[in-house]
Amino acid sequence: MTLTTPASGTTIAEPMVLRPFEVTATRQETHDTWTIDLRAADGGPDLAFSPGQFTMMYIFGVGEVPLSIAGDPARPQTLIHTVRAVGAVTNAVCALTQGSVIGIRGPYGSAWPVDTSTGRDMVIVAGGIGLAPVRPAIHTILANRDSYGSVSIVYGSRTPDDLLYTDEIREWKGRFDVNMQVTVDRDDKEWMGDVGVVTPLINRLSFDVNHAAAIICGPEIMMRVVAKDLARRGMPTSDIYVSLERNVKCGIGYCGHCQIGASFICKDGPVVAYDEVADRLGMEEL
Amino acid sequence: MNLDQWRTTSSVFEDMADEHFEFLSSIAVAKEADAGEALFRVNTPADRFYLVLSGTVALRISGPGAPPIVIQTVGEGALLGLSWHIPPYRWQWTAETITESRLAEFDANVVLSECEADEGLDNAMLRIIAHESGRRLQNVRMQLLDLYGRQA
Repeated sequence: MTLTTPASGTTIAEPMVLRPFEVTATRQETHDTWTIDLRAADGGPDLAFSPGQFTMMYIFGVGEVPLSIAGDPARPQTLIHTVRAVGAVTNAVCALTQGSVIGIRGPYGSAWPVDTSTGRDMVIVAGGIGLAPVRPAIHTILANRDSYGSVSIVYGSRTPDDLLYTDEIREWKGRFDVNMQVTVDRDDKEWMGDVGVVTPLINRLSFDVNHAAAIICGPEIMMRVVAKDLARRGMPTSDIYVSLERNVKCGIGYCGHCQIGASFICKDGPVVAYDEVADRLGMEEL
Repeated sequence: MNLDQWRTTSSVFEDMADEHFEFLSSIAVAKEADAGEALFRVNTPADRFYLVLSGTVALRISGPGAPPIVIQTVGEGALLGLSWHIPPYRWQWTAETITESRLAEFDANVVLSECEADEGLDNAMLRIIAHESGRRLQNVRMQLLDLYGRQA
């Protein structure tokens, strides 16, 4: 059995067979979120991936979970995942230590429209842990900065303590060629930035709605609101991309657990153009 | 004050007739505020409103024995101040600049007087207030959902 991933074109000979990966470093990002660095432990090739793709991570004796890749596609020798501890498997992932060995399948799924959007203004909107799946796209865009028009990044978080990748955010804010906006739902005594949801910050961005691409990742309700706001501003919904999350199990479009309407999130997504799913998002029980 | 650049970039003036935009421009007064400056304080007469041209302004409220709570910040292109149009015409929040800011200030009494004489302007201002109130309600509902704290 072979599988060709639609984004990277990589052919995976045995898509259900795990490869062993060793944890090389862990970093605590927030009180419940860790970033895990991994490298292939089987002497095989690096895990080349496209921004937006995900892997299936198996913690032996615990279970398997789909995780978006959060690393830099230009550095495939290190597989990076940022994981929030919300269940049995993700709790086990966040408890991994250097030297631990886990199983990886993938990469799977579609990619952010980074390669197909050169020359366009890029609008990236992330909420909460949703910054992790867009981070590879940000790395790629900034590494090829001259290939794009304006670059705007809007990031919303619960509190200042819940912000991910704070060093990188500081770096992106310091760049003259990036408009980085950060907001939190609730501030603390030290916070001197914006408070509130991400949508008012989008109104502050300057971009050509007819020559731009939007990358949105976060809670589905947030993505719907942001997509509608961008559409109201005049951006074609076919240029707005969201990353959907459902109950991915097999990762290759066989089991149907992640089905949303006629699409499988693992195979047709997770990255999809908003116009393809707008009528299905917000539909109760779907 | 020339507000032409905000005619299309600020949602405040969306759908506003040219003569009403020109009226507001004619009475707008430029204001510069340092970081940490209170533009208005809770429970004082609401006799003006602002368009934020640059910088960030926090809407906050205080309780006894606790630091002020910021519920929202507003920035470039946003309307600041709604209470001037709604009884009892007193500010419901304190507005304080977080950063050095530039604003266009509008005298609410002048606008209200003109609204009495010009029904079209009155309707336009009501639309702005209703639109902004609705948007803020939606935003606060989103904050209350605590979306980023949920699992999905």
